[in-house]
Amino acid sequence: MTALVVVLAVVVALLVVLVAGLLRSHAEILRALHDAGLGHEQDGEATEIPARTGSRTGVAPSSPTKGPSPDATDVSGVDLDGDAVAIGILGNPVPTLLAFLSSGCLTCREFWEEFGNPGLAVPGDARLVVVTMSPEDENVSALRRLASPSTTMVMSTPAWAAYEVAGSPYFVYADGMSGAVVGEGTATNWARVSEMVTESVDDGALDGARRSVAARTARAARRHSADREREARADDALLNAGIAPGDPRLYPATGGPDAAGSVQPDPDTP
Amino acid sequence: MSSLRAHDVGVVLPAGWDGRISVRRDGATDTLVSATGTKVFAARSHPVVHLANFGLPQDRGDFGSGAVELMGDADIFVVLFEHEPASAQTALFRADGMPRVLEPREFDPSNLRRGIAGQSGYQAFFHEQARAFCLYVVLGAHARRARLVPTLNRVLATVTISPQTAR
Repeated sequence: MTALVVVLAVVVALLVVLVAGLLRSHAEILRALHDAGLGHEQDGEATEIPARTGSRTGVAPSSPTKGPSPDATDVSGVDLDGDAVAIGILGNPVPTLLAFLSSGCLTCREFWEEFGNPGLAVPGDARLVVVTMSPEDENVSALRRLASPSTTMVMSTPAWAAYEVAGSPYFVYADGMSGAVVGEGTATNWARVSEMVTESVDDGALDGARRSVAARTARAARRHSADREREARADDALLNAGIAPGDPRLYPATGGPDAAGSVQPDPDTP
Repeated sequence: MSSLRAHDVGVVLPAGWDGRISVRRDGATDTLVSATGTKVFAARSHPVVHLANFGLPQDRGDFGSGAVELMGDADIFVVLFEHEPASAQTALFRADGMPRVLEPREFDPSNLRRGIAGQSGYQAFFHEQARAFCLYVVLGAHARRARLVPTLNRVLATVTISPQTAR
């Protein structure tokens, strides 16, 4: 009897050590995942997505990143039938709301259902475009069940890379006039997406991006105009000095424009 | 800039342009025989290309109904519509090669399939690579054709049509 008790005690002690080891190993794995910035989808919460700017170990912004980041690009790929699709964003006066969704993400289900509503109000007066990964990275038959035929959709893994989307759902509000991503982030429902986009617009990010581009264009135009005026002044000065176009004095090294083409390069010049 | 290629048709689009190269399944039927000997009737598919410098709506007709109503003055809509290859031998499609340089004077509101006030249209039938096509273009404003046609020509210059491969 005593021997049996001793054996049982030893077995229990061994099991305690084993369980403690497993718990410690599990804790280390969780810590490593957390350090790597990988989230954990649960209870309808969105997958954590690193912020666009800064390190990739951060947690998704609860609201879109503020301020323009001039990296909107056009999107091209295929549709569910394999036909070619290009979505023009740059230069388009209508902003574009890109919804990066997938067939496997639970949080995305709500958005797939919302987008089936033909009367859906899209915030920021934007055009809604759903972007999934390319057919080789997605479950096409599942997408056929989820996607609404009335929603513009493009399957393009390169678009996910171009917009640095690490997980779904993710939303990007792009302004074609300035070429800027005015707001971006993740959300668990359409109401929150609408709030995020509206906040971006209300905060003046859209106007700011457009003002910035307008100022840049105006500066370029002024620089171009100044260059032309400087060139005209130089031409006038040369003409007043009796130097007309083609004058050999303008080509001291070659003797004239016709001779310039026949000059042989200096073999010692690298 | 986006490159689109499907169904042996390709195009390079400038920034901001939408494009679709899809197929219609309304052609004459082909009879196929399956491995088990069952006869299968399948409609031949013919490509239709839609290009636009504005956002193409998801629901639109082959010649742009549903899209042309949304056009603004500076907008351009292009359709390249393939017909049965046998049509390439007919008089209607006798012009050889797609017109890739258009002139503003070739546009006329009377060419529009849907006469929307202010808009202008162009239509041409041709064959290329033994394939029969109709090129149909709508400009948002006839009055702005001199400014819009050069932009259009830059896109048309990038269109490539290859011999049709089996589908």
